[in-house]
Amino acid sequence: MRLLSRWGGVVGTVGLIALWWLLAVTVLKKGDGVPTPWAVVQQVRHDGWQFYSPHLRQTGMEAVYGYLIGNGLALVCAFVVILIPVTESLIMQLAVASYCMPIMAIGPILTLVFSGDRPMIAMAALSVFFTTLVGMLFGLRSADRTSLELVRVYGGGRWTQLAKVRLVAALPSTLAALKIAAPAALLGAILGEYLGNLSTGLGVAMTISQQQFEAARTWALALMAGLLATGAYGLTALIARVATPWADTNEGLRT
Amino acid sequence: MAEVMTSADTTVKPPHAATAGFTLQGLRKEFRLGRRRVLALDDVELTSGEGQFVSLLGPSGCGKSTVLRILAGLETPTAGTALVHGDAPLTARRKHELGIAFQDAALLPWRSVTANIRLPLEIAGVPTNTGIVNELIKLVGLEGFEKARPAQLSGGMRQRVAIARSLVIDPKVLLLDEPFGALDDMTRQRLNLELQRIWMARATTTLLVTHAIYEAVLLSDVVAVMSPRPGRITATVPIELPRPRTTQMMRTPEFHAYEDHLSELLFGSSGEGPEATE
Repeated sequence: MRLLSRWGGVVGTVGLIALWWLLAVTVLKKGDGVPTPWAVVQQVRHDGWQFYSPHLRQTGMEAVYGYLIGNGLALVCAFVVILIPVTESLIMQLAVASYCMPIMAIGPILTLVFSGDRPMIAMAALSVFFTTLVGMLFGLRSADRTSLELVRVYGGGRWTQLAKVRLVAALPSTLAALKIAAPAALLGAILGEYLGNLSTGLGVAMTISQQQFEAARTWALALMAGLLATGAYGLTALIARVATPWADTNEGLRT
Repeated sequence: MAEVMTSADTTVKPPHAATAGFTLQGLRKEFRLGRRRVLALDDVELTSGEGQFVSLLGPSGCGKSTVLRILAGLETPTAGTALVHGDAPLTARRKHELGIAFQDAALLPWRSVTANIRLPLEIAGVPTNTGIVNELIKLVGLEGFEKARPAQLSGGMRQRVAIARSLVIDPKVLLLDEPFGALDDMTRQRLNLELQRIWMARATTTLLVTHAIYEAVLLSDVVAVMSPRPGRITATVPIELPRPRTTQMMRTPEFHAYEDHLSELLFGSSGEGPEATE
């Protein structure tokens, strides 16, 4: 069982590629929309790293900035809600609005307001703000009630409760939210590129190669976007595990 | 009333009944439950001397924890006054005079034993004296577990940490809300005897909330018996047994007489026991 769970990811990936290959040469052969994995690899070799790297770097940077800004704002808002509870309804209304507004509707507005790659950064930030805020607030509130009362009895206020109890108690769900936010920021950045006017970026390159009927290149770009998102997710997951050792593996030497 | 309760001449350190420990006057507490109002406490009266160990004994739901929470400043009374050492609870809290332990040890799972005990010092902004912390760890018998995390400890050990933590700021007043309530009987009895030892080494005014009669008799200078709905103190019974009280003493007729008397007050006719102090 343990072997299966360890190698499950690898088996799954290989299976998926095999399935893709099978479908590409059978059912989906007509129309040239689905290249074989091999064709995609050949395409990447042919285009070379110097073609892909500027796009990856551009989109990656947008996503990173958006991730930092969006999560940073969510963090500040969560603290404000906890320290000044009357602000909750206002902040949550704004957050829900930011989440419910179709991103396709915000995109053109952002493109009008900002220039360069800023609309993409804003889209990436918008994509992560709400989920992180909700995750953080849930975590900050999941702090043990008795521990919070204990802080009060020893003369601590809301700030001390936040610093000594809530912040660390909020780490597991905050990190879970940050994990989801990593691919979401990338998605936001790519969507922003569809709507904006940049010359580099994964979204831009995908649109162009799609219009040029370069199926293999479009697939290569899409897969790279996927790999980047997975990498970002994996990195935050790794940080989460290191940062909250008490959250899961507590069954140590029980006496 | 105070004279009646200064009966613990046999204690190692005589309580100073002249200065007030706890003062509860006309204490009333109403809770809202939807549209209904529930009267949890009505006209609760209690005074104790400084350095005395007082137990609030009553069935569950009689509001005894509410009394403790009012004294800790965690609830505000609907009417009446509650003072600890002559101060309002919030004042006492600001002066860092309170120590508290709940039934739930409420240890922070990411902190080690040492760091959990240190917490009140950090909150009070007192520079951490590792000597005091180590001394307390020794006092509650947790040497060798300084670096352990709460999840690695048994329930009894966690409560020992909670007791050590309640003592670390050297509180003038100790509030204990059934601290051993969730433990098995054997552990509970052992920890009660240790609590007595720890308490005797300090001059701390203590309020213990409990529903175990033997526990109240074993530890207290005075037992205040509460009746439920609405919570009232129906009798205060001084326990005149010499300290340190031992397990052998728990088998004596005197001990049993106190137990019988208290259970009569709890379950008997009304609350007009012979030693009621009104």
